[in-house]
Amino acid sequence: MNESFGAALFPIRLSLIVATAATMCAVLLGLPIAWLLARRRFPGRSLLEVLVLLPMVLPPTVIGYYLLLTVGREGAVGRVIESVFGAPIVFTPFAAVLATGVAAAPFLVRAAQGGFEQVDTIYEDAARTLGRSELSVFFTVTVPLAWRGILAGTTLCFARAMGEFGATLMLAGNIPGRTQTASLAVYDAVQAGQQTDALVLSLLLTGVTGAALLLLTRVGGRRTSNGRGE
Amino acid sequence: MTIEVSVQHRFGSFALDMAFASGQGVTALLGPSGAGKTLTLRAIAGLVRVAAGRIVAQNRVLLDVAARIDLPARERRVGYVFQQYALLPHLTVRENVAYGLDGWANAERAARTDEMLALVGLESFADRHPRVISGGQQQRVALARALAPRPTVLLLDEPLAALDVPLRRRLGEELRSLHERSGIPMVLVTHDPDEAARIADVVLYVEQGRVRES
Repeated sequence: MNESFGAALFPIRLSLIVATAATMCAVLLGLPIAWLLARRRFPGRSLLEVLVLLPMVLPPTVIGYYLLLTVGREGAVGRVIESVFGAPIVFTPFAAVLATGVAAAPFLVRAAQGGFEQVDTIYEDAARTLGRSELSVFFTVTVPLAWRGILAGTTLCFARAMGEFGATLMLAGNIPGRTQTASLAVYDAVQAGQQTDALVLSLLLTGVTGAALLLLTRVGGRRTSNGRGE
Repeated sequence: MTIEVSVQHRFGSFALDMAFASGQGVTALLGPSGAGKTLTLRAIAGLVRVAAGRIVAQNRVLLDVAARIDLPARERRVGYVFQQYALLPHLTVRENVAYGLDGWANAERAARTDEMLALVGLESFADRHPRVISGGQQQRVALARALAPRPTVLLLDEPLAALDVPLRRRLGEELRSLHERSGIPMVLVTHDPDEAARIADVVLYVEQGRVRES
């Protein structure tokens, strides 16, 4: 068992790092998109909404394949990356973050958009008449009032990121000690007949994502139960 | 005149074509719901875009479509008391009142907030949240919050409509006295002729997006 814990340590740690980094990227890029979708009407809005949600329903292998076409060694963006950093991004932990982020971000955008839509625009209007800039309105009114949707989105995004498999495999490969995340290591362990390793990894993964979801229900549910929505 | 308003816009089948001027006192826009009263207030505050018009408050041009002037809401210095007050539910009474004093130095902001809380008699409720105080108290907070940044004009959208009848009369009088103490010109929207007559110096009757000639 001890040996299995040792073997599980790197993949689990990598999964945590990759999922955290991917979730942070998803929040930084996804919140503005969620706000745009909730608050603005513009040409191409439906297209953007579909593009954002597609990774939710596409097979992760397809997401990974598209990413390979874009940031792979032959891809337009991939060439730029390689000429700037002197090395390709594919088969690195950064590729794992990218693939995981793209696959998990829709969960954040969806929930955050719902959260923003539930904030009555009258509060934002009040803030505007009180001299606040749009950015200030966003951070002092919209975000605090939409926090439950944002928290739900962030948690789901993180949980999905912890479980990401297909897109990561396509873009980052399955290199033990480098890009092998916990979900990939489970697959390898089962393939190699290392049942204890597979079990330990699976239990750890379940524990971490379960804890994230528990946090979500505890924090979100406590406030709902007494009807105090803020 | 303190405030000159002329705004024209089509919203679907509804045509807004409001023109009026008012002085230092309280002006009431009286009319049935759907007449365009709230829309006019929103246009003055810069919360809705109009196709044509010109708005001047205390010699400041807030909007002049022909001259391509259209100050954003945050630069108009127009106080607005919303019908449901729109107090920020995640902030305390004190934080709500201080919300419009963002750029002020800490000491001045605190002093102004205290002054406003005293003006509406809510010092002892400063640390409560809006949802746990009464409707009348919420209305006072909304007034204090709107007046705190020293607006050039105060707009009130059905300020008494959300209150019980007995409270309505008392707060109507309070509103009148608040106007006299603060000296800020007010434009009030209401559908209640008695209320308009009691509180306002000038009553304008609004119908189908226009001020009816009387």
